[in-house]
Amino acid sequence: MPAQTDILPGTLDLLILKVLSRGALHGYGIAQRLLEASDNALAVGEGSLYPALQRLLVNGWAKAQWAQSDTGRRARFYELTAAGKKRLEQEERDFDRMVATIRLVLKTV
Amino acid sequence: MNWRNLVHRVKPSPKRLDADLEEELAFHLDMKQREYERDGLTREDALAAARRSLGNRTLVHEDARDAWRFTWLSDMAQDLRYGTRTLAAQPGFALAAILALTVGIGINGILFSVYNALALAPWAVREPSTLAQVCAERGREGRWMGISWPEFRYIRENSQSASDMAAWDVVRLRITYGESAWKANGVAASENFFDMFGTGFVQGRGFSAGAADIVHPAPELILQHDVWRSRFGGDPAIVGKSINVNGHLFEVVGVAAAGFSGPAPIFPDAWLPAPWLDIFNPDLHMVDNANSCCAQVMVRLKPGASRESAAAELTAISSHFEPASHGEPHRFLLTRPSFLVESSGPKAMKSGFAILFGAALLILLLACANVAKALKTVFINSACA
Repeated sequence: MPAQTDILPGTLDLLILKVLSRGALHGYGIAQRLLEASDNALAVGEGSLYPALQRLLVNGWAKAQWAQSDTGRRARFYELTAAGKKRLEQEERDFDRMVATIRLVLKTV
Repeated sequence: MNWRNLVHRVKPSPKRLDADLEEELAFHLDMKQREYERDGLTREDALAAARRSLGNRTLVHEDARDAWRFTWLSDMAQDLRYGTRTLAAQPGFALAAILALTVGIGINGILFSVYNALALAPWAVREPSTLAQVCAERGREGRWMGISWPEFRYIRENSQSASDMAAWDVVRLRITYGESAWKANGVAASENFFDMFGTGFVQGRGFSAGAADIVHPAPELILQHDVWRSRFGGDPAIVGKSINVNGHLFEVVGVAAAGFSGPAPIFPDAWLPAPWLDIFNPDLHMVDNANSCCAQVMVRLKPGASRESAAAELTAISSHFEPASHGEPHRFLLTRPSFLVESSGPKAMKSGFAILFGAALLILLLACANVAKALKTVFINSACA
């Protein structure tokens, strides 16, 4: 059982955008990729994952399409839009800046 | 409106969203189950574990819908604002459009409620299907008239196919009660009128046998339910009280059941015994005069009697009713109480309604066309501006 780690609030969207930047993926695949990439530290619950995906759709950062999955079953694949790619860049920059700021405070004070 | 906005408008309906999400979650569950099976769980255990890990699906749906809810709301608000602004900018156009649509929809609404009340809604009386309206025709005298009171009484005595038969005529009333006096619509009816319809009373009873006395009819009054509520304050002890009608003292003997007004299209305030017609109008000699015209008649058919056979019987009986000045006998036609649904009934009324309906629909269509045309003009103007 992977250890559950809380995700910093507001960063789930960033993580999903990042995963999707490698190519279209369905919800389950996104959760798996996050789990693998975090060395089993990030288990995103479906209760947060699917609402987050809907947020991406609402904002026009991703589009969804039904297609055949590896198992032969129909799955909904999410894909970044041009706006989504721009958003990812911006969120990455913001995140780096924020982390740098927090580091700075931790070191200085 | 910018293009980003336009793209935003392509969004799922709540129903579509739920259906997509449900299939998505089912796929997710399936994948989870495979995962657990690979870890060595049995099929059943794997499914149960997958279910557990997926948690509360309803909550997922709720949260996913929440993501859209704000955009649905804000879109509607935006549409409303845009609509209001457009209309406010062109008050003349707005007024014309609203008027055209109001008139178009209003006329159709009114016509349909009339048609519904007359022809479609079942009549709230006992066994309305065995009731029939009696229409009489004679020579060139005009069609579908009523008959005289003496002829009504003669036919009623002799008919075998009618289990009951009632007649009525309209009479103007002036009612005085306490401090107030008002004009009212009355119906002078044969004493069996309420027995035949069988709707009952919220208070009291129907006419007594004394109501049939041609010379000295009982001074009995029965109030219509709404009138009892509005004019008499719904007095629970109204039965037995005296009311002055056209200068005569009447006793209230009953209050008719709620919603009962008798046969359309008369909506009376009160009913009283038919012979009072002659006391109110001594010159007319209605009740004992075979040449008088015209009591409206309805019959309740015996089980097994058809309207056609009963009409034939009534015509035969009428041919034997020959007081000196009676003239040609009547031919009878029996129709359903709401004649509009009866194909063998007076067709003119039915096709009349069809024409009215057609006209009303055309008006609505014209209204819509006008608004559409005006919209187009407005749109072209603002696009070119």
